[in-house]
Amino acid sequence: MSGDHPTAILCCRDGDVELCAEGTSALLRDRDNPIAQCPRQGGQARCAEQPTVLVLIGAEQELLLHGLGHHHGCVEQLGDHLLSGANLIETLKRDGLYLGLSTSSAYGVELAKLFTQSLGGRLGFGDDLRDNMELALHEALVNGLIHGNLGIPSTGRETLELFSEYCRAVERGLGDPDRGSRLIEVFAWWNEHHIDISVEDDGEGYDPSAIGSTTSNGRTSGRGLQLIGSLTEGYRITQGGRRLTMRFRR
Amino acid sequence: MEYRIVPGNDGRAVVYCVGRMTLPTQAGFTRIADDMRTNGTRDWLFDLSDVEFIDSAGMWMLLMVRSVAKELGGQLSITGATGQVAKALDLVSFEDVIRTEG
Repeated sequence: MSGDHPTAILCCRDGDVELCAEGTSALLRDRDNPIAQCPRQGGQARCAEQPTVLVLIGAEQELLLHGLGHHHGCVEQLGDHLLSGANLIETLKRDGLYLGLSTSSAYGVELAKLFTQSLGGRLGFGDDLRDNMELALHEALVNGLIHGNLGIPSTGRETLELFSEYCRAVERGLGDPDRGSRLIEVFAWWNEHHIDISVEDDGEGYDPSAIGSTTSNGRTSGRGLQLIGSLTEGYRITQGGRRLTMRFRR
Repeated sequence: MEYRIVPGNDGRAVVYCVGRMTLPTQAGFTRIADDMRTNGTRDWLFDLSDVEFIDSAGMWMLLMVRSVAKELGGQLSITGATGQVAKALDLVSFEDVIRTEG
C-alpha cells in the first residue's frame, strides 16, 4: 500500500520536523515542505530513518489503519502544510503512536476506534481495556474537536431543539475553513505498566476547574470528563486546557 | 444511526436503533423525535440490541427523547443494550435515570 500513497520519513535531528529527502515521495517533495538533506559521512546515514509516519491527504479509514499498523501513525497534508506539532517529535523519540489531523477530517472518521484497535494490535491487550480506552478517547476527542478547536461551548443543549441547534453549530464550525483546519493530535506512549493516551487541540484552552463534576437539571457540561475519570486510572489536563492525558493500566 | 419504528404487542411503540449513538449521528434522533410526536403513541421502548457504541452525547439524546415521551403523556424505556453500550450505561448508572428492561 505504501507504494500507492505518499509516505515520509520524518527527520527531527535538529528539533524541527523535516522530510528526509531520501525517503520522501515525489508528491510531497513538490510541495513547500521543509526537506532535510541527510549529511552522510563515510556512507553512514546520520538522519533519523525510523520511525516513519504515513502522510495523508484527507483521512481515509483504510489509510489511517495502514499508518497506525505499519508505521508510527499518520499526519495529514492540508494544502501546503503538514499537520503536526512538537508532540510528533516526542512521540517518535519514544517509539509511540501519533495522529495529526485537521478537525474536519478527524470528526468524519471513527478515530478512537481505529486508534485503540491499532494500539491493541501492537500491545496485545484485551477487549475490556480496549472498550474502555475507545470510549475514553472518543470523549476526549469530542471535547478537543468541538469545545477546543471549534470553540463551541458545551452548555445550551438542555432541550432537543437546543441540542439540534448545537449540532448545526458544529456543522457550521466544521465547514469554516479556519476552524475546520485546526490541528488535533492524538498520541500514545507506553511502558510495561501503563499506556498514556493524549489528545491535544489547537483551541483557546480553558480553566479545568470551571467544569462541573456533577450534573443536575439544566447542566450538561462535565459528563464526558466524568466518563473519562471512570474509565481510566486517572487523567490530567495541561497546556492551558488544550491537552488531556489519560492513563490506562496494562 | 438508523432506526425503524414498529408497534409493540403491549400498545407501546418500539424503536429499533442500529449503529452508533454519538454526536455525529444525532440527526437520527431529531427525526425520531419528530416521528414520536406524529405517531400518537404515548409509551415508547428503545431497543438498543444493534447499537454498537454510545457516548455521553448519545446518552444525552436518550434523555432528550424521554422528555418527548413525557411531553406526550407517556414514558420511555430502553432494552437490549450489550457489549460496550451496556458497559457504558452501567458506568453512569443509567438505569437510575431511564427505565431499563431486560
